Amino acid sequence: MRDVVESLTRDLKPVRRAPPPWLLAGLWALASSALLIPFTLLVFGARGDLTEMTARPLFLGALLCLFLTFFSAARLGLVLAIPGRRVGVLDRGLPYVSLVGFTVLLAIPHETHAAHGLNCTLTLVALSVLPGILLAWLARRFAVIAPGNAASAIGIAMGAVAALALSLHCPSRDASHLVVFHALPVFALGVVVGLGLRRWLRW
Amino acid sequence: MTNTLMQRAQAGDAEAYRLVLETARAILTVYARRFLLRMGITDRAEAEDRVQEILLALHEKRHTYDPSQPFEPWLFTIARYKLIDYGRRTKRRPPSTELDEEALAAPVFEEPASHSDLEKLLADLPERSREVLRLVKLEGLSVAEAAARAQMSESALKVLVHRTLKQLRKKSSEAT
Repeated sequence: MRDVVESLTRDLKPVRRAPPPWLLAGLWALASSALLIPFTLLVFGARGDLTEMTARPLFLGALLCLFLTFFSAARLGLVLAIPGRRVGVLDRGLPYVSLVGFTVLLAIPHETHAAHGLNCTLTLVALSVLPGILLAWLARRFAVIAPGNAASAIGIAMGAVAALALSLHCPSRDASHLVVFHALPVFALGVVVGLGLRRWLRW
Repeated sequence: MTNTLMQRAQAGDAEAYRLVLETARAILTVYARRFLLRMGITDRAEAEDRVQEILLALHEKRHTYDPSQPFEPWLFTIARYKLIDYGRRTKRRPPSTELDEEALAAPVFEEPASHSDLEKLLADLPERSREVLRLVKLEGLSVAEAAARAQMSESALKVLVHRTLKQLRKKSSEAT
C-alpha cells in the first residue's frame, strides 16, 4: 500500500482544476449556439416569417424555454461529473420543467401550416450530434458519478440546442407538428442517449 | 486542513499530496472493509486491493476536487462509486444505505495527532466509549457487529460513537 502512495507522489505534476459546471455549461451553450444557428441558417435557410415570429411572445417564450433547457441540462450533466457535489431538486428538475414548458408553448394552437414531418426530426438529430459529442467528452474528462442520469441530461441538452436552431428554420406553426417532430425528439434523445451513453461515461 | 493540502497537491506539492493520500488511505481502509463486509466479503486483502484502486482513481481525478468544498464528500463519493462498480463487476449487491457508515468512517481529527497525543486522549475516555471506538474505528466492524460485540443496541452504539467522536474532537482542538 505504501508503494502506491510512493508511486503516486513521485514526479507529481500540477493539474489544472476543473472549471465550475455552470461556467463550462455556459461556454458549451454559447459554442453550440454559435455553431448551430449560423450553420442551420446558411445550409437550410431561415424561415420566411422569422422577423414576424421574433415579435411574438409565444415564440420567444418557447426559445427561452429551450435555452433554459439546454443550459440547465448541460450544467446537470457536468455537475453529475464532479464527485461530492450536491445535486438539488432545482438542478435535477429545471431541464425537464423547461422542456415541458417548451412543449406546452408549442401545443398552444397557432394556425395550421405546411409541415415538414419526419425531416424535422432527422434534421434535429443530425444537428444535435456535434454538441452532444462535445458535451459528453467534457463530462468524461471529469468523474461521472451517475452515468445514466448524466447521459440523459446530455441527451436533453444536445436535443434542445438543436431544436432551438431548427425553430429558426422550420416555418411550421402547426401545434401537433411542433410537439411531435420538435419537442418529442428531445425527450427521446434524453432516453436513448441516457441508455446508450452511460456505459461509455463509466471510468 | 485537508482542503488546503489537496489544493497544494493540485499545484504539484508532493509532500502535501503524500499527507492527503496517507489520510485518505487510513479512512478508506476502514470504509472499504466495512462496505465489503456488507457485501458479504470478509477478505482483508480484497479490501486493500479496493483501497488501492480508489487511491488510483483519486489520483486520476484529482483535478475535479474544488478546495472551497469539504474534502470528505468528494473522497467518499469516489470511494462509493468504485466499490459499487466492483460490486457490479463481481455481481454482488452493494449496501443500500451509506450515511451512517460515512459518518463513522470520518476522520477523528482534522490533522493527524501524534501517537502519544492520541493515546492520552483515548485514555481519558470512559472504558465503554473507548471500546466501541476501537471496534468501529480500528477493527473496522460494521455497526451491527460492533453492537453485538459490545452487547448494546445498534442505535445506542451509533449515539455513543457519535458522542465519543465529538468529545475527542473537542479535546483535540483544546489541546492544539
